Amino acid sequence: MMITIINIALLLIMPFLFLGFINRIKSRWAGRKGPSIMQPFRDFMKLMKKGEVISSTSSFVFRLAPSVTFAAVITAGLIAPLAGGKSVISFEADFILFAYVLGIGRFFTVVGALDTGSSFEGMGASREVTFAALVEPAFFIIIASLGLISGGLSFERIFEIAKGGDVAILVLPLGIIALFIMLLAEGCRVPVDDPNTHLELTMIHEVMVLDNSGPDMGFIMYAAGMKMVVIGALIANLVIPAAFPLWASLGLMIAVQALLAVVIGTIESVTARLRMTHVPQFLLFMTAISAIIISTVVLFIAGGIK
Amino acid sequence: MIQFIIILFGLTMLYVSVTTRIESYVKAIAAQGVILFLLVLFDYGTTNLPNLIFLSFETLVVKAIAIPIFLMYVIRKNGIYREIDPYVTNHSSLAITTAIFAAGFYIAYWSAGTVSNIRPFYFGISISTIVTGLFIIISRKKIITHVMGYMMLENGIFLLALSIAREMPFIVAMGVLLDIFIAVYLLGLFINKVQDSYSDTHINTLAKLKD
Repeated sequence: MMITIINIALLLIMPFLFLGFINRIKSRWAGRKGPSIMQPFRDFMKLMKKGEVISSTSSFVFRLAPSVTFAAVITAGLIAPLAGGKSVISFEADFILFAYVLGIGRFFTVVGALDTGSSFEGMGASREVTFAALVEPAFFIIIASLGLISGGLSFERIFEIAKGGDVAILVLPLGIIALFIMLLAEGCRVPVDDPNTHLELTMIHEVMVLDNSGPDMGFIMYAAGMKMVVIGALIANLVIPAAFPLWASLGLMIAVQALLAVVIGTIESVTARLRMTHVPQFLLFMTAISAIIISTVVLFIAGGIK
Repeated sequence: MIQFIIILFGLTMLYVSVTTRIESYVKAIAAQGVILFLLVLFDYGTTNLPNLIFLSFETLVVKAIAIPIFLMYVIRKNGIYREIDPYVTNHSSLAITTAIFAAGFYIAYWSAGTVSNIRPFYFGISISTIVTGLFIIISRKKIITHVMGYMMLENGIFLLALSIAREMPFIVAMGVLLDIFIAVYLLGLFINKVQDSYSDTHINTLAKLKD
């Protein structure tokens, strides 16, 4: 019960801190003092109080989309293991639901964007779907190979058992890198997409939400942050030992997430966005890593590399 | 932990197969030099101190510092720090390298069961590094990328020597160093002298070389 409350609180609070921390790191790199870490929360509250402008050409889908996306990401967050390696909802093969719940969220963002009839947003939608299609198989392969080592089928069991043994030390660096690429792609961060640019031809996610305003925009921002926290939690679960007491693993979870925010902020400060034609290569790198992971794991099960 | 480091070594090759900037190649070579240094330092297990000192010098100073700096010098001097111009697309390059590495793991698995007196993990990754180095040599157009592919191949051979012999013969290390010296020397010669007559350092232009 305790752990459930902690996890839900973590899931609701962390996205703001995560986004705020990234911004703080970026401003430090730029030599500025930077806004407060709570600034995303204040932005969210400000957006909540605002009214909305809804295009007369759009239908109910457009109004529905941000809320559905947000709900989908929250559901995914409840499935993913947070503090203590425990999920709020856990059952056999829950990682499939996890991936497809995120898929539903993405689908509604895309449909909402298409509903506005803007050619810009259609372009963004097309890109979003293309890149998501590259990320998803790799995610499944990684989680499936972890499941293959552990024999578990739910996130909790997968991460609990996958950490022991020789093969874990091989899968660990590869898995962290692959999931980090997924984090950048799903969270629309720099090498794939730039969260700061609005109204440019080269962007993916930001272009899809050009028409949203007010509370809807707040939900979209919140959902984007939460998505990063959820995938960051998967990375953290690869690192945190299973046998740790709850408070230690809670602290480690927050530490890993903070480290991820530092890395993301640094990447955004020192590198440029990839050219659009190079983004698929970046994402296929994740697929390549996942192919290596599964070949390693299969061979380990077949007899092991000692 | 050692396996972790070797995996990172393999990842540099995977990165090289998909990156489009020449500077990234140099960074990857430097990273490989540092990784080899760490391996020599922590996992070599020799009692022969001069040998250890020589290998540490070779990996850290030569492979990780001197050669990358020289390569960067050549690149800057000739203004070729642009794209690497592969014959194959980056996607197929990535796919082929992934297949090579999967095969490398299979070789490691096979050698673990069949061959005694070998460290299979070193063996698999080094074989796949050598093959990837060859692949980079045959699939890139610019001459400087050929030399850099050769460097990576040499790094793979170094790793192979670590895997087979507990005590790497001094002569092997010297041989590897000599190879690298000749490659870099030829590169410097070519780039600095032939550059005057042929402005583009593509291997396509070499086909037109006549007396």
